Amino acid sequence: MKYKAIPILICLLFSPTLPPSAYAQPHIGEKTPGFITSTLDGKRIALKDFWEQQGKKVLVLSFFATWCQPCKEDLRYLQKVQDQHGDKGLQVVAVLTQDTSKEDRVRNFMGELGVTLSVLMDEYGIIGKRYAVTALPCNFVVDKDGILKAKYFGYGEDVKKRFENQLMGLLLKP
Amino acid sequence: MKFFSSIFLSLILTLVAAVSAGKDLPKIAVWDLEARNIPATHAKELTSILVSEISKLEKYEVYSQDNVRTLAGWTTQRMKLGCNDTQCLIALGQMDIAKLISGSVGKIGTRYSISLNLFDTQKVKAENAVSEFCDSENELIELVQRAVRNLLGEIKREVGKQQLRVFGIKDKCEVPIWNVGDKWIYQNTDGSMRVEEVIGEEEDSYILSSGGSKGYDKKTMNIKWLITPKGKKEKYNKGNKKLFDFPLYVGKHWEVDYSGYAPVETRSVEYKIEYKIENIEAVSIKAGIFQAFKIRMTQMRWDLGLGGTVIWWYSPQVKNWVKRQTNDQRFFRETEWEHNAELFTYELK
Repeated sequence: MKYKAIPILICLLFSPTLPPSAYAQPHIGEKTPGFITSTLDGKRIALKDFWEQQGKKVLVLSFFATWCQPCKEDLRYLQKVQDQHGDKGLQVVAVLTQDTSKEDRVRNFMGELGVTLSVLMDEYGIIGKRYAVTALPCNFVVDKDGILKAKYFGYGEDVKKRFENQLMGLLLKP
Repeated sequence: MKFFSSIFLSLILTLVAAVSAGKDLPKIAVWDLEARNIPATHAKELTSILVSEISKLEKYEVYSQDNVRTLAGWTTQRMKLGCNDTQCLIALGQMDIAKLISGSVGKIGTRYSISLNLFDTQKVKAENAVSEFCDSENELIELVQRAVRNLLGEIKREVGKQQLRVFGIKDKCEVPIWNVGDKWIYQNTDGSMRVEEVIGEEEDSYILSSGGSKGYDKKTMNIKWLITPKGKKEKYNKGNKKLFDFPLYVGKHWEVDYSGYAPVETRSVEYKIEYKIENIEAVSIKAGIFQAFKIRMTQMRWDLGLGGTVIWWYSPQVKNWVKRQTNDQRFFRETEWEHNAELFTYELK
């Protein structure tokens, strides 16, 4: 009888059959979770390409949905930030999550906002889940080495101020 | 059994993850092998072995089907659909899993097969596929190990490295220098093992233990003497003294005539053996992949007009033969030293 507990104990000890990086919440100061997905135009892209193929850039990942009202203002704001700092090595990328809208619908949505940011698709919500996105909009700031530096929920003046301070600091670094 | 199998797979994946956590390795998902006409437990075990084999490469972080199911939040029903469709590959990519291996293990007639597919989640398409076959259930473990290395292009790479190391400098192979403690373990097709070990060295000979003990001439590697079951040292004159005629090089040919004991007839008969070194080729066996001289040995019995062929593969790296294959099991059925076998592992001092 007592031996029956052994396999259970082994299971408890080693229950994370899941490689830790798959489930761990992204922590500030650690490598940002990678992913491979499609752009709105159907081009396949890996997140690491932003560092490995496109030169070192500060990356902002902005999770949004077409049904999310605050996301509209956030995207317009991020477009302005991109226009101002794009030449300094900033790349803002919008990630469509928790949204089953078709590509045309998303294109129209972005067009109406006047936003031309690259859009990555998270049609199964997996990327959002891995980044622990529990509210929208949700923005992540990643430095030129792929390290996650900040995470912001919502859209407001306080958030914008903190976001801009963080961004400026990172853009100034070589 | 299934329970322990799951624990084993869990342990492997946990250890693999722990080891690879800091290395930022590309991630690979391994879907459970589908069992076709074989017990499901076999397929489960072979999946574990496949995972273990990938982890040995230290090039990937390995994820199981269960990892994927939990992360994607998919139902059991969805998982049963497999992962060969675009949707599934896209989902894997979003988990940052770059590659997927899926496949099956099956039995057709008396033969077993392992088929593996490799998918690239960024390109969302199949990248490679291999099928390998064997004649017995005992060979399935080695078969899956070989198949997955082949699938991931490791065999080609290993062969490439071997070629660089062996070709060019070793197109002529001189007589090997053995050291006391050198050991070769061979596996026969029935799974039994035979150990050969250098247990001593004298001025002009090596003493090799392989069941009994024999003395090999250091200059020629011909057998000079043997120790009888009663422990007496006797000059070797009852069998073939010369297996390999060093130096070895492609195109070399030699002949040996000898009187040998025919166990069935319990008498001595006359044999003639012709050897020819045909080429140098890569041999993939349990002990690894080796560049080896392929030596065709044709043995004749003059009195009966019968003959058979044994092919030996000799590896300079291993300092011994690595594979032996006969094309006539009947002719050689009484002489164990000519049966099919291959090197399982070896150790050189």
